Amino acid sequence: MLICLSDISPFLLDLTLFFGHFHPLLVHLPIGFLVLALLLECAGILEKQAAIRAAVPFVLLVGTLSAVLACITGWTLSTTGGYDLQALNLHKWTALTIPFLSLFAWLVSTKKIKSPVLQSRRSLLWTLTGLTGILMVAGHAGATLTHGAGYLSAGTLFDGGKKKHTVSSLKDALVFEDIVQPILDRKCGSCHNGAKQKGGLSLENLNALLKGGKHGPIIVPGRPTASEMIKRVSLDPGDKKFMPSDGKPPLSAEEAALLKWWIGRNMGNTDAKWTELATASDIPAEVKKYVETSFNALSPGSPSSGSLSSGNLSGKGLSDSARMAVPKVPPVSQEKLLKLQQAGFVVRLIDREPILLDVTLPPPVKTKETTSQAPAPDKTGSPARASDLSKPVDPAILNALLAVKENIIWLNLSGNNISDEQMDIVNQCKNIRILKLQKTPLSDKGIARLNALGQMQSINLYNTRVTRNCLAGLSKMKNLATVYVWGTAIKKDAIPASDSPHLSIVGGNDPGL
Amino acid sequence: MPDHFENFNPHHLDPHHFDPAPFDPHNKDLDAVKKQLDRRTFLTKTTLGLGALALGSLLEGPKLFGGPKPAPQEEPAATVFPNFLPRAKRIVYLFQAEGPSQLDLFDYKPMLEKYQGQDLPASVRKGQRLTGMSADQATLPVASSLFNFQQYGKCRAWVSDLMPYTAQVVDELCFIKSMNTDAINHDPATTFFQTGNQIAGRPCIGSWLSYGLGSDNENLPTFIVLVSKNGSGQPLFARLWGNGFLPSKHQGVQFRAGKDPVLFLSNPEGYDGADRREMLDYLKKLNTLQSDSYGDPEINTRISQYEMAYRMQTSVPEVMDLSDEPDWVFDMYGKDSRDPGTYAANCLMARRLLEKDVKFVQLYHQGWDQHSNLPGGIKGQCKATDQATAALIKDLKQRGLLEDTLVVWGGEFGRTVYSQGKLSKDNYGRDHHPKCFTMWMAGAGVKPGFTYGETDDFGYNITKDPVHVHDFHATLLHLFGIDHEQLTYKYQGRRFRLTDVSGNVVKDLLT
Repeated sequence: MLICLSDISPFLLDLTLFFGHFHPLLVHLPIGFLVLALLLECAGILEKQAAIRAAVPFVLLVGTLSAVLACITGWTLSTTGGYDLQALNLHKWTALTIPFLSLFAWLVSTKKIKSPVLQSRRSLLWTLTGLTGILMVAGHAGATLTHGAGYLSAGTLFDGGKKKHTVSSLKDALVFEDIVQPILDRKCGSCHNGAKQKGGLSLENLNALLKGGKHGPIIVPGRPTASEMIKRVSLDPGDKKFMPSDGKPPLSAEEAALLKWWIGRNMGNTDAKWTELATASDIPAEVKKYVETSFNALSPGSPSSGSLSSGNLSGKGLSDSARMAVPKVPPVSQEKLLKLQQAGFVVRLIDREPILLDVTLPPPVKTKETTSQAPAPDKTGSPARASDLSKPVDPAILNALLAVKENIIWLNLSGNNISDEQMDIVNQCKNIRILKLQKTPLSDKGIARLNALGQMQSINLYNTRVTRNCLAGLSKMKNLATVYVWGTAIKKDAIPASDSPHLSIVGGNDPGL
Repeated sequence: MPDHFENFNPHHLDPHHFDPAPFDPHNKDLDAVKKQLDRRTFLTKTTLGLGALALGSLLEGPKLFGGPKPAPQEEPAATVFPNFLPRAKRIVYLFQAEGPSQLDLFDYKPMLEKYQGQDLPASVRKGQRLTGMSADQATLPVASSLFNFQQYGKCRAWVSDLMPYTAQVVDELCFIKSMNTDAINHDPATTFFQTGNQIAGRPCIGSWLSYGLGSDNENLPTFIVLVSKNGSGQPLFARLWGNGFLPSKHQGVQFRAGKDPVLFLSNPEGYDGADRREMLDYLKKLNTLQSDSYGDPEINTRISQYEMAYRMQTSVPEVMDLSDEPDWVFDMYGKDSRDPGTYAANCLMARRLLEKDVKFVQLYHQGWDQHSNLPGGIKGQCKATDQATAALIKDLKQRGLLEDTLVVWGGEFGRTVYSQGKLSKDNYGRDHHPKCFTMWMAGAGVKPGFTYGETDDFGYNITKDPVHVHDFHATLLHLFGIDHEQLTYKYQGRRFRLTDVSGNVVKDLLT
């Protein structure tokens, strides 16, 4: 009936659609009520709780009414189209039985049906169990429509067998499967997958991609600018036809360039490997850089593995090289951060997804003997640490770092009295990129303990006790680009170039150098 | 009536409430205020329960639903920003107020000698508006620079002889020769650069950063302003480092240009730190009571600024004590650096503040407004700033600070290729020119030894890669890990941004 109404006037169409959008909200009401009815009935088995059964008819009544509402809104939502018919049919027909079944259960619970079978004490319990079973089937089918097939196991232990083809290095990467498809999955997959095909379009695999949507093909092989897909992603983001729609994260410039290049040159050849094409001169530099750095992020030594789709590219500001090698790190709870602050560290969140931290241990406050002021309270309200620089830093303080060791990428311990042995703790923070150890009593022995910091880009050692000997170890770190050594025994002219081919060693400007 | 209202204590609303240890429960004045407040809070808090909704809404509209007072817009530092991995942690902005002449410093135009004294061709000017100062001139004679240009460093950047020290550090600098702005006069142009709008009243860059990212050192202000002393010419107003509609704790704190950058740091004789603390604790209690009844966010700002001032009693003397600086550092910044309040001394101070993780240090140096007698005037300006600027770069570099500190050098607009006033063999002046001028950045995340953008042979129009002020702002925020379109504040029904409705990140400048 609603469909007929919607044929009559566009206003009504809009109105039904508007209510249809409430479906994902409303479906949760019957689920809650009907499961509650079952729980009440179960609890009522206990003699002590027998009185609770009196609530069951009311709960079933509101459950029935909300199920009716959910069905109506669901029906209108389904008329907008774009869903996988098989999954939709399963959801629709199982869900439509629910109002009737729950009405039936209500009748049973109020003893309005005079059948001796149904008068028995357990009949309602079995009816409700059956109803809950159907509820689960309908619910699962509905979730498949929204989140795509296999949503339950995605990213979990049960997912293992399903991965089709993961590559660990760029050498083996297939252009479509490992480079193009992951972008489509990430940026377009939520609306154009096998189960949910907005505009009749699925980007699940190459065949579906080539088939196009209900308005025809979206790709003209060899002609990126004539391809609907490229047009849509290149529009002004405010445009009605811009994709991805509804404010979902758009493609980055590099991703769009990659798709363009792929359509222009490499369409259809599913077996093409990146290495076969990487030497071609027509690859735009940004595309090459994007692909290479994306894969470098997965190179051995970094904690993540898998293909490009492993989610360590969050797509924001991708042209920054800093963006590229974002490590995959565990989440951090608020308490852990709080504990770190209580230990005396200043903690700054510098990325949220994944959580990356900039951690500083403020040097002890210098107070003059002549001033009688109390030490300033720091951010957490605890008093600032005592001013005695001669005392070494309590190992318990540094040990607090270990709770978030993988999340720390900038670490600053400068100005603190840390010992060579304590570098073992720092060495466990293996994702450190910038390490500031200046103005500490560290010597070569401490630096030698830093051997697991493969991500480190710069280390600051000015005004420490290190000598030339520490450079040999440091120059083995392949990402390390800068060492600051002003105010140490290392003199610039005394460093032979062979010691540090890729290291930039920054000295000071004092006349002593 | 629920009995918890009887014991209502407004302090319990605020989980961050700082509870000082010694608190005399029999302070009469405080009790009186509390009693008064209790009646008021009783009425407003219980309106819902009593069904006296109308009364409640008459008393205090926002409390219509009996909830706590309307929270001021939440500080986004903890929840939203940075949007992505930042490159810069701090910034020092060396604002060269009144518009240094790009044509005499960095934008080398050898062709001008050929046109020396000739009227600026209309095909070049393209109807560009002029200021009232030169619009009535009979001719607009092209004036080539009197100063010699040379290429320096590995990047072969052109620098005139006016800046011999800057010339030594060009391999650290990222020149933007294609800056352009909308304004043609000092105040609107400076306001535009600092706030993204020509009309005063919006928050400035430093306030936006403080609001978006919070503080890295609770003992010093997040945003500190240093203005060179004895500046003359166009006035600078405190609104240039104002917070606009943001909570006022985000405004820039100006240090005095002189021997005592912050006055009254020490306690009066016979009054020790514990007394001060106790006084502040009582004051805070009173202010909190007031804040709970009126909900004015400025009261919270007042509380936090009192606490900041208290902490600065310890932290500022430490920063200001230059006795630990060796002589060669003063020599590097130039002999002016021993004279507090000069540009050189401010550069050195800036480095000390940046070392303490102050997020935004804003320097202002006035006097670049060479409408006439440019050769003499600009020489003096360069002499006062060149050595210290270069020293700051070197000093930040040797301390490893340059890798996460952004340095910005530039004025609010450039200067014209034609002479304002009479052009003679060894003298000329230059008027304001918004259509192109040179700025440079250095450090965190920008390409070192790099030049971006080009201007035409007259240095009058941009021929390649223009960078607008909005683009500069967007890029600056990007370096701090902020998407400039997301850093917003809702005020008078509209969400405002530093970049207003424009701005593109200039990715070519980034490493």
